[in-house]
Amino acid sequence: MLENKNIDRLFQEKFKDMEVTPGPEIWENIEAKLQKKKRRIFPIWWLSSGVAAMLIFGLLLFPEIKKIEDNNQKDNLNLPQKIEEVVNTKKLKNKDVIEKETNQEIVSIEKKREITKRKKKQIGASKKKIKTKQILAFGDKKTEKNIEKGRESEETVKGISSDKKIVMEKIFSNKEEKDQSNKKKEKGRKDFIAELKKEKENVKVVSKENKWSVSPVLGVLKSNSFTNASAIDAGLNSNKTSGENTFSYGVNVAYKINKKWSVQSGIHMQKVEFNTKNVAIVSSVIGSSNLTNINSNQEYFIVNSFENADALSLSNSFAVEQGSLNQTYGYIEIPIEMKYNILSSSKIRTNIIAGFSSLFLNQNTITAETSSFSEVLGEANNLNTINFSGNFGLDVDYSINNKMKFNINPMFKSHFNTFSKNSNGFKPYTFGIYTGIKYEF
Amino acid sequence: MQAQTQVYHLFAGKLFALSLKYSRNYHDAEDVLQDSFIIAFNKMYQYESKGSFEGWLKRIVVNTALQRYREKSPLQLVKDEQNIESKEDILIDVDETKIELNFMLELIQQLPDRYRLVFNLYVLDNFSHKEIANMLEISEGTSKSNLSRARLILKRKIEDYQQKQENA
Repeated sequence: MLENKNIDRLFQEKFKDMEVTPGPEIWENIEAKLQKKKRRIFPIWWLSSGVAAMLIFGLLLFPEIKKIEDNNQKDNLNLPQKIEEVVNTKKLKNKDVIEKETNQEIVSIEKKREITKRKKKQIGASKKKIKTKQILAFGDKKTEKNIEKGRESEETVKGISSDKKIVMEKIFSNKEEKDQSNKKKEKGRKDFIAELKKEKENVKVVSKENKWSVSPVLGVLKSNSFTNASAIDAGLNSNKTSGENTFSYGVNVAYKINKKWSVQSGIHMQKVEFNTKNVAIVSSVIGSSNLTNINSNQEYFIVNSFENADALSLSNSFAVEQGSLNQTYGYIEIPIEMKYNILSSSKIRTNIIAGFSSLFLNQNTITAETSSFSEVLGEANNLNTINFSGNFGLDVDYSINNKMKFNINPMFKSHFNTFSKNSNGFKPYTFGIYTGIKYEF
Repeated sequence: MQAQTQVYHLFAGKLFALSLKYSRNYHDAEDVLQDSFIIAFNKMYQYESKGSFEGWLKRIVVNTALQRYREKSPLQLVKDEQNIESKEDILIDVDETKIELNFMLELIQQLPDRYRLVFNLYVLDNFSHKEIANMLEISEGTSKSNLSRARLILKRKIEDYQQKQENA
């Protein structure tokens, strides 16, 4: 039906809400170009400087971060609802798109048919031409060459009709392909929505499943003191006292509070060992033991250097040996620590840890060691049975699979309450690297 | 990448339709769409949530298309026709049921580059002649005369097409 219409309106109405889905290769191209740009190597010094900054500010900002985190959590509560809304609107939209698309596909297929019609006409026309040629050729009848020509043209006619067939076949197969790809597209869309839903569910499941984790851990500790002093006797302050490598082992239990925060506890056996070098040990009895901080059932005499032993002319009448004093003590450690996630990728999660440990003394000996003998002198009398340490460190998890993670955890622990008296300014700390396999459930 | 995939699938249909209207052909439209998404994803930080996100994306597509054709036609500067009478209302007798979307799209794509841009900007995307003049670096008069030329060409082609259909 003819209608008198403003040409602007005609185009506006036709093109309103037009949507055309581009071929899948377009997204592939875009993806490829974007990924090229993204694949920059993450500079390792970013990580180290970041960690350094976190170490400095982490403890200071601790209460603030917690507040912010709480607020975030409140905001996050609305997220699932939002996702649902998006999925719903998408569903509706996609339906429209699919309908429209199929309409458009039909349109384009019809167009193709037109083209084939046109081609048919062309083929028809060329046929006519060839026929006239033939007639001419036979009309002459003078030379055989002409007859041959006629045959040739006959063959070309056949050729053309077979070409026509091929064209038709192509068009039909094209149509089928289009139908199939159309169906695929529809399927693809459905899959996409289904995937979105699945993802949503997965997020829920994951957060439900892996709240708890348990890991047996083994650590190598290096102990030292902030000050150069001896906890055994003030007279040995000028001697070099250094920490030895020891081990710690135990079990960690962690609970994930939310995406960023976890709380961790456990039980560890921790051993600390200090070595006071270059002391002169007088092995014969010359009187009562002379070190203030040892309870001992043995008589001995310790001088802070071989030279001083000489000066006291001890070496003449008694056996004097140069050696070292070894102080070892151990704790049952119960840490309570907070973990805050700073970096996470699909494989690696990096947390900072801060907290404190309660340490219960369970081992306490002081040994004298020389090249010729090693003897337990007794135990320190100035160690508290309950000690505390402030802990700070990094915690890196590497996912082995869904449930298992390899964990490496450098920790710095400063002891607060090691000595009850006469510490002589000795302030021990430990630096440890703990590793373990974390099992999440 | 996940979020980008979602954004792409959500808007690709509309934006491809838009770029088809602004481009000479299907292939050009694909290029425009591709470039637009890459620009959008790289400049995502520039999007301020003042307008709609879809509007922002559309603007990028239009600009990308403009850039492509604005530069390619230095000759049209000479062809400026200022004094063409610009009629706002060009009417056409038309049977809409017999005119397909694809045919109309082809008509637009076949317009000379600047006619096509002006027609799209003014009629389909509601820009004023002043804005168009700015965007295409032409005068307002040129924009108006380009528009009426475009309308006349479209009208003639539709009429021809209908004539043919009646005869067939």
